[in-house]
Amino acid sequence: MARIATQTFVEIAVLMAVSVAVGLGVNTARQDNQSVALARNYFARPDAVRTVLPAGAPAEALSEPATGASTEFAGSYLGVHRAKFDEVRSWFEDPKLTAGLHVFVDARDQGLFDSGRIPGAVLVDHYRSDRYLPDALNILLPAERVIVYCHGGDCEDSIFLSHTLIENGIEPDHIYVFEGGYEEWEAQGMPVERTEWSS
Amino acid sequence: MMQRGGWLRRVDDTGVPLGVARLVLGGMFVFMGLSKALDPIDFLKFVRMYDILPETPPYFLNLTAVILPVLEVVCGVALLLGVAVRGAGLTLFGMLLVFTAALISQSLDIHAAKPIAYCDVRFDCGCGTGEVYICRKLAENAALTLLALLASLSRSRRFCLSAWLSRVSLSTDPERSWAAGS
Repeated sequence: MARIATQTFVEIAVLMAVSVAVGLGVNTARQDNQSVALARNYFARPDAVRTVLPAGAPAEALSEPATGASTEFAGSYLGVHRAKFDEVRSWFEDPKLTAGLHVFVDARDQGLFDSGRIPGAVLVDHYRSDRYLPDALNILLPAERVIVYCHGGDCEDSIFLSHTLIENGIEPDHIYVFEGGYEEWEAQGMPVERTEWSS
Repeated sequence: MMQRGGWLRRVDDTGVPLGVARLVLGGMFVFMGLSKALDPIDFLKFVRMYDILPETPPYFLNLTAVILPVLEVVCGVALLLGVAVRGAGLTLFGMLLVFTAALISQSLDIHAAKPIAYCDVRFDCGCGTGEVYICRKLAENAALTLLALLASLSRSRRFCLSAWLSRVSLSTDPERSWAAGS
């Protein structure tokens, strides 16, 4: 019995060791932009988001959210704005969009971006932002309004990306998080853009 | 020996129950592990969704997203080949218990937020199989847990690579062959 227990323990230890070695090796070696940066906090935001309202938080943090949105607007603690659909639509129809002063930023991944996005949106997949930010910052830094969105509903990637954008020099006051996201945009019958793949 | 163990031992000695458990459990975990390992960042989001591990320091979540899918594949391959069967079975048994507890917790949260029957709760659990209905997923996990338990407890090593390797080792080592009385 003791022999079986020892043997089983050794087997489990070997399986674990092999998995750790293979997992870390593959993660380091892979070149397909799918590796996880082990030291990076992908879900970084101020501690206050999960605790209490800090003194001097913008009044909109306490306002009634849109249907389906969270009751607490996490972006308030970053100093960014919450944007409702009507505002986002007016910015989309504003000539400043074509002038590059209003820029939509899609925080989702490449696959979702390709299958449908707000026309003209710039892709900055939050989880692979290192890849997209260098080019995107050239467009985002001069903009007056950077409208960030993700899928919608309880998706938090637009908040996480806002944090990353601020760390990279975008003024928090220029950032607007469209909480309804792509889901609401599409549901409202707004135009969408798709990537056409040639066969 | 057969009299001592009864019919359960006789069925186990055929190697068929363990063979079925190894094929089903091993195949499932290789498939599910690979689908997670191919997109570890997507899996990372699911790991966080269950709110089991702390977000800081980030190593807990990130290492789990990188290593857990590989552990599933490694255990699955071990079962399919028939090496370290008991260790792989026990590891998967433990993992399934944790996964099932996390699934129940998450589904109860969704159920509390939506006015629907519990079995109508449907979400992507990050299990590698897309969106699932919770009751079906729990039944699947219960079946896999039983198979993992079977793989852990079975004494049979028929159709296992480890048994074949032992025989080869014994037959090529005269000293051990003699000691084994063969």
